[in-house]
Amino acid sequence: MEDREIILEVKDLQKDYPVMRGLVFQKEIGRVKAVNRISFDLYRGETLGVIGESGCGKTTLSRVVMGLENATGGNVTFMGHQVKRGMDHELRSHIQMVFQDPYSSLDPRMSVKRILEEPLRIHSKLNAKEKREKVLPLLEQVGLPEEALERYPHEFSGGQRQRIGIARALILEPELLICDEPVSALDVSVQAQILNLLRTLQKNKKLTYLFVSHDMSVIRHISDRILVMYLGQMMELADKKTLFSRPAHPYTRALMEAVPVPDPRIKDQCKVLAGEIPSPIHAPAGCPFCTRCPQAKEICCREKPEQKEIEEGHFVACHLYSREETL
Amino acid sequence: MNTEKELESRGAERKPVLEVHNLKSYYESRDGEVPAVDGVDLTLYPGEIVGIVGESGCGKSTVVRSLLGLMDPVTSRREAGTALFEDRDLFRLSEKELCKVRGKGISMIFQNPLSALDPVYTIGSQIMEILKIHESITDKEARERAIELLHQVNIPSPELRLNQYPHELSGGMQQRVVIAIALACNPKILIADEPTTALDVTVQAQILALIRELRDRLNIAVILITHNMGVVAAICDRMCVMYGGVVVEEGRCEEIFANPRHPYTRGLLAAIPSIDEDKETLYTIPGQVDVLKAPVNFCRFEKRCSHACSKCREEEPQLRGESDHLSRCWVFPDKSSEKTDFEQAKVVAP
Repeated sequence: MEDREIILEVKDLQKDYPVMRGLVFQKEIGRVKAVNRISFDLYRGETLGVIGESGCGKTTLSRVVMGLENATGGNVTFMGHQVKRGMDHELRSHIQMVFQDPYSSLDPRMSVKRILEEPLRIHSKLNAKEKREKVLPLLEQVGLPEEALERYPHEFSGGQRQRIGIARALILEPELLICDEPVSALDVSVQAQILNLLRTLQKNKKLTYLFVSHDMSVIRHISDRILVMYLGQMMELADKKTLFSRPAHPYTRALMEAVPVPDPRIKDQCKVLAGEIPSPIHAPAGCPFCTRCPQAKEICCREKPEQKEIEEGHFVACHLYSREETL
Repeated sequence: MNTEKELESRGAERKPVLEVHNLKSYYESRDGEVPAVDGVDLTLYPGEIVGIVGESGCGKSTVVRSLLGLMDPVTSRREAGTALFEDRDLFRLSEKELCKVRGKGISMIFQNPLSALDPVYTIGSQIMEILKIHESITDKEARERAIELLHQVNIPSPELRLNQYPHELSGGMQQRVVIAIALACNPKILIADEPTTALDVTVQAQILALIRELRDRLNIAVILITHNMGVVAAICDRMCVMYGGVVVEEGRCEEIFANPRHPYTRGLLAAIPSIDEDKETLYTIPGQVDVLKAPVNFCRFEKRCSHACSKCREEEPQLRGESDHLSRCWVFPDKSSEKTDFEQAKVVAP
């Protein structure tokens, strides 16, 4: 990578949610660590893929980075400014988000024109003609016809709606686009269209993506670097090539092996990983993966593994790689 | 009709457990009738897993819902078709007779396990309910059988689980319970409608392994509906690719994945991002799924197909090819067309 300008810095990020009990007099009985001490840098122009199964905190992470929720601990810094709720409008316009469900993320009572112009109305003082001048080229870039402007979300298919969602996110010309499972509600052929679109837009507009997904093959296709999460914690962070050729963490390996490959010649596919994700309320004391890890040792259940850089840019949090043992 | 004869001779060796012929199921809509399923044939042999793949709206769920009479009679109508199961036509059974088939002869598991289970009853009572409906069995026997079933689907400490409610179990466990209920009366056929779509990958792998294991042990026939080509490749023996209410390609999985013929199947396979290689851009199928109106007398994929010729517009192709690999296409009908390069085989449109 030529220019490694850091655009977003996430440091020791922690987000807890209280667990309440009782109907009227609610009492806090515990805390769920949805995101637990995660740190990473995001470089300008790259795509960082965040992968993990449900409940691993990937959506919480994207919401905190977006500034929709305040962090409990740690810092999110975007181009030198702190990201938090109610942050500066100017700063907000630089970070935008594409949501998972194109059906619920668009207001059914707003025409596409209003949906796309709304961010401009809030963030700028453009008049109607200027707004239209901004909306039209963008509409073309995401592959929608001009007639779409006067129509309503229900008149579009899932893929087209997601295009509207992407256009809405891009209208303010953001630097960073957070994509929270943007293709998981779509069919394969439509998914391919949206992934290609996101790639082209990134190239043309020099965008930086934080791309959250649970689909390993999608993440592999779109990302430059990949962050693997499990129960709110970072398991592994590496660039795509390294991660796929030398996955270090047992969980990363299990995740890759569990994906069914569209090739029936590979018999005995889907190596089965025993057990299920523990509830985050009762997360294991040591390594979160210790209950299912085939290589778990006694120390894993007792102590949290430290994050360790086993080669340049390749971080792993696993006792297998602590101290004397290396690759 | 060479292929039909071949199929018949094959059927003589092994008796199929289910034979669906020319199933047509139409929905009412404001602009007329929509042919959701428009002439589907499906033969299922014991101990075989058949995958039905396709994107949303292709009619894959409608096929199995029509089979079990689960369609809404107000908005939909079965236009034609026969479905032979145990020498009886499912479509001619009365509702009462059909009730005896559902759950006992043919049972079904659904996509979302939490909505398939009743939240106010315990796991145990839900399993025992189906046993009591279909079999004359005492409470004690039903309980023992329920424990055995939970054991069969690899749920640890089943005695304790019997008294738990669905929300106390994880998604994977809930799906196992649903499978246990489906297996309670030793059905001949298990229909799984997107059984792993709502689950995580590692749990999905567990459930797929379980379905395969049950097939091996119980010799049950499975119809697996999915949109995930990977899932089909992992556990199915045969597959049908559906588009626009018809099967466009059918055959053994190895055969279809190795030599896909129909442009839609090829496009679908090329559109999947690969986990072991990098592609710069993904292949996309141009256009989008059309809403069709009956009767259809052209190829349903013609508008999106880069190989379409004038014949495709004039007449609908039929399934042709060898018995283990059929395709519904004018341009790529049989083995000879397989090796033709996909990109170059463009038939010049007039």
